[in-house]
Amino acid sequence: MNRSSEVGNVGPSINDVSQIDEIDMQMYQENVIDHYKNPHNKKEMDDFTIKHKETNPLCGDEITLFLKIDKGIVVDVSFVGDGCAISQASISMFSDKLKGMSVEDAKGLEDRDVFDLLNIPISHTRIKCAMLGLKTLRKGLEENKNA
Amino acid sequence: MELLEKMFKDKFAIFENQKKLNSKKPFVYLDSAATSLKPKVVVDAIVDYYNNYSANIHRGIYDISDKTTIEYEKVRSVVSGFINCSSEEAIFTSGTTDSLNGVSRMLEPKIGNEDVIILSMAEHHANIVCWQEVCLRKGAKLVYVGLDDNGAIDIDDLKSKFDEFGSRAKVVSVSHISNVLGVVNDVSLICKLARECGAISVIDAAQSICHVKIDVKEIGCDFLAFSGHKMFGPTGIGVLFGREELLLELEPFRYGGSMISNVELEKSSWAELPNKFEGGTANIAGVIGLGAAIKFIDSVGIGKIHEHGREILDYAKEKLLGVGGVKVYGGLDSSLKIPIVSFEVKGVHPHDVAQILSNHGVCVRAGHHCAQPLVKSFGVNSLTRASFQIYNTKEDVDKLVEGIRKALEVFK
Repeated sequence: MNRSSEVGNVGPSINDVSQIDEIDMQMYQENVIDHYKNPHNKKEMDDFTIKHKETNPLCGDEITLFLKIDKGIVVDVSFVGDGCAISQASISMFSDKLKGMSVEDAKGLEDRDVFDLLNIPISHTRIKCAMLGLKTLRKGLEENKNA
Repeated sequence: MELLEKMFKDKFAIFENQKKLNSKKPFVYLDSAATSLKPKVVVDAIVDYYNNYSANIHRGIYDISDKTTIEYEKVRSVVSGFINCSSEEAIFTSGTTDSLNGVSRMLEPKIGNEDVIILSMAEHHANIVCWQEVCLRKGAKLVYVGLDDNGAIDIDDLKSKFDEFGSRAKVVSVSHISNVLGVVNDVSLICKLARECGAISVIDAAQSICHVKIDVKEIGCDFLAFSGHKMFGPTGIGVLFGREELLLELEPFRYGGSMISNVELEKSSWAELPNKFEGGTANIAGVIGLGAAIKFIDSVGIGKIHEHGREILDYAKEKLLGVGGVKVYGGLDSSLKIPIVSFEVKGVHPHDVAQILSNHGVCVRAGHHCAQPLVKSFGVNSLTRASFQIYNTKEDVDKLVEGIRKALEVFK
């Protein structure tokens, strides 16, 4: 299933040039800047069940995601990494959402869920930034099917 | 200067077309180091070929094939004149990457497991990965020369590498100008040192070809690679210059039609230079476009392009230094470099800088710029890069600076 094809109406168009400053503010809303500057769950984890690192080879962004799983439930989440506001705010918000989720539900997460969390306009090129956290989760779960 | 730039903008349809598409958003193109915009004369030449004489070259005994062959070979002499080599020494490729891959393949039989290949820390991935693969296949070693305080290849370090490895140093392959730093390397001296050591010199001229006069004899290189699309030409076309003596001796790297003189069931023999290295149907429209691009450069004058770049860089230096929180890599000294400015904005990730600039109509690039070892050596994963060409104005620099201030404000 090509879940990354779900592009499209992810917020106001960035080609709406009449109010450029407003577009800056829409893309970089306070909560995005907040998560970027003060990310949630950004730390290493020692007693992880799954640790997985993904990079965005085109831009060098990287995320290492740690998951602690107990009886099919994601009981703890953390991450470390480096990247733009979109990728870092995305994984920060996403890590909050993952906590307490069942592994099955986590496997079912879609691009749309990340767009909904961010709720900002994202251009085609930057979808990869927004999706890096989800990509790390998917690959991490795939490679650790028995976890 | 402004009048001159207006004149140049008029030669590129994209400015007018972008304005029609979106009259409210400015179009400030500062990504010419990735690819330059295309003047109308280049697009027209390509369309003319496809509309009026789109035959294949060589051996078509009819009028339009004859014309195509003539036009195609005319471009070869235009290219030869442009870099001061003979027509036999100018091989058409698909671009710098293809040229460098080709030369690495050609030289591979000369590399033994005791040998070293010397690169610099400022190379584009195109001039790293193909040599890594040669080394992996042959058991040879890659050696990287460092940069001096200005961001140029450190000549003393290079000398020490030659002293250390002597005749084991088989190839030196370096960029004339780094695509991240924009600093001009002393390639004549580098090639002289290589020659004295018996090493073959390869120059990646992707960035320099459209900013400084290239004369392969003055540089004294054995090979030189460049792309059409960074010099106002189309994508998918490039050139590999090779010194005739070496081209005669070395084996082809691409087999197929056009590059043979005779094919038997078990073996074949090769065509004369330069066809020996041009297997398969060429990118004919690309060659025609490249010819038009070189004519365009000649009509402007490479000296004028260089001078314009210096003025823009001097202006950018003045303006950027006025913005707190901007750190430039590779300096802003126009006597040492071409107008490529890679920078960091304090507290704002390069992608976000580029995004906010994009929101304001300013096109720049952010990332590792296909030079991960270099960018990582600065202790960062990415940089924002603005690069300029003849169609850029001081007003464009103002727009860049305005956008950077905006980024600082958004992330304050």
